[in-house]
Amino acid sequence: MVSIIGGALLSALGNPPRRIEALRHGRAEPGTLETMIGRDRVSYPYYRLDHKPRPIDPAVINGYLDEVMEKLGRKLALNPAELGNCGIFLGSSAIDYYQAAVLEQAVMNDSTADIENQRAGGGCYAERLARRIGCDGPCLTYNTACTSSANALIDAAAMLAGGIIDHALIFGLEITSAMTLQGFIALQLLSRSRVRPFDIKRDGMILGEAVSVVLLSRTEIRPSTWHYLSGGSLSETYTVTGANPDGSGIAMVMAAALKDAGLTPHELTAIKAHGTASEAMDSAELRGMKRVFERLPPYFSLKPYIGHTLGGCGVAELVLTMECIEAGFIPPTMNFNQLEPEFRQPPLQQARAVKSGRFMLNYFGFGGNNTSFIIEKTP
Amino acid sequence: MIYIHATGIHNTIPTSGQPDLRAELKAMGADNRRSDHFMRLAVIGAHKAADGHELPAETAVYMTSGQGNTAVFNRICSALRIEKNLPKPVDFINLLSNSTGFYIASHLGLAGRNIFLTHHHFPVQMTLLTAQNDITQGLQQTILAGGVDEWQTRPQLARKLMGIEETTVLGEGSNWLLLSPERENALAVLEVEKRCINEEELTLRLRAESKHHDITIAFAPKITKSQAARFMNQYPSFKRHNYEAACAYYETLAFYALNSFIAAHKKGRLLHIDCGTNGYMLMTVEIIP
Repeated sequence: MVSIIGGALLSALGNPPRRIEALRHGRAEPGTLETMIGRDRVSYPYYRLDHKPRPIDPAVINGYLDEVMEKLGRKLALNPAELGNCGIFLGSSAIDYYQAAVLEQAVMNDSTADIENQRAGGGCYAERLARRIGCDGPCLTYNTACTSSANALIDAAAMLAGGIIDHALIFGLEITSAMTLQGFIALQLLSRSRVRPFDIKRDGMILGEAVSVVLLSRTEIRPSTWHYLSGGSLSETYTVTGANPDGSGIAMVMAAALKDAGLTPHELTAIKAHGTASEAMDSAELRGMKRVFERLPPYFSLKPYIGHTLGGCGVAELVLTMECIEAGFIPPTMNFNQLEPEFRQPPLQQARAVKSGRFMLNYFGFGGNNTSFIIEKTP
Repeated sequence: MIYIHATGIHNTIPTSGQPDLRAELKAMGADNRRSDHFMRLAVIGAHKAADGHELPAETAVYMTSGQGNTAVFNRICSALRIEKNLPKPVDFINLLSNSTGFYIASHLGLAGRNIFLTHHHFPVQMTLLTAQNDITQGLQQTILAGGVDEWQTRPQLARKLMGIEETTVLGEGSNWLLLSPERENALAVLEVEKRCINEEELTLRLRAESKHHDITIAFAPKITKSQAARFMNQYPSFKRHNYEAACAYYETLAFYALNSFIAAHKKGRLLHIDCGTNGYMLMTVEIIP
């Protein structure tokens, strides 16, 4: 069995007491981020974790990864070096930051850039973390768009179950990049106002930054009241930008996670939905849930609190969900007002008292990548 | 321990620019629209491994790359920084590593797990270790695992990024293995070491291997010529798999080393040795006669 020991998070919601307050009462507002489009300076809502400048600089990202790791160490009174046989698993939609700094300069100057003669690549962050923490297990980096760190977590759990490692640190990483923001602007997927998951008037997502980490251990080595029960990860090829609108692909991955956990749909306490507030994906998600659940358990989206943190959301939203349940509730979905007529059960609109149970966490991404896992909190 | 049921080899040494793969892809019945060179390369290699096999729809795709789709990154950078335009939507989508997996799944009609993962030193070994664990755990029944690296359009810069010598000839490749827990009709058995080992452990391992007959060794490019010569002198019964003669450098060459051994041998055992800052990483392939 796999224990979830605890997690830490850097996000726009601030420190844990502020986060709990915001999530309990459904209060959060995005900031803004400016970017240049041609000669025009335009501003988009954005959930940033601080207001420091964001050059594409690996040192900035390494700084956040170290900071979140230190927070986890303090929270769990843990010396990571004592973890021994530990793997590092990092998920991000932008693992190419490390090359980006060099490549961008080379493209701009049409030069070869002056860099140290050492290998750069997507695995750099995980490798550096492993060296710094002193982990000698595998250190893997995942890029499966918005399911990146959820997929990293599923593989970490599989390696724990397989006895390859005793502990796993799973990181979710998403930091502002002009390239990501402008890519989403080009795709016309961003809201200029608010994130309204599942609402009939939703008009797109708002991006956010998050750096998060969670520690998983083999239960016989480090027990916990939190357990990872199962995970499903499947793909569909309806469109490269997401799921089949009929919800069939989404339903399949949720059913796979339930089957793997040996649970029936009515045994779930709540669902953390992906809920990006994108017009097509929210409908597909609701249709997918409708296919699996005769009567839906309470469900909520965390995107109105920290934005869509893309590849980082797998771990970031797990940490937030666990913090809420530790505090005795599941959070409301902010900014929701009305469902489309074809759907019946709205997302949770008031915080609901919950201290334990089984929770499904769903993540869906570009490339038709669908991921769902189930965790349990015992009293 | 898992079984290799097929290999897919696409390995070239381009002399001037990235080769045009569209005709080859078309001949395979694959859709060229919206894909770029990196994606075409991936689909061609995966197609070759899947060719002649009826893959179950739930077959998983585990893909890795050393440097990824850097050409699309260059295009987006040019759009943003030089032309001052938004990136083309298709380029932005193709920048995500798993979009390539989408095109493979789409071409082969797959709906299983589809992941892109990498590792700083051992992208191939760690991808295969993940596949090995998932098959051993019963989480996956069939996995198409492969490594894709394209010829770099800025070769001098690429050599710096890869930390290799300025004179190293660059190649490109897309090499795939079809893996399953079933022995029946398998070509070979694959075993990936679960962790890095040190020099002393390597010596013990090689000594143990030397008791087997028909052992062949493949050295990764990071093993220096003098190191390789030392190993070969110490164990004169070992043969050397000179896969390097048919390829130029790219970071997922280890897949090519395994695949080319399987393609060229009807029996025998290959020990692939690679090294990183934490020590040596071993993989073995034993051909099923």
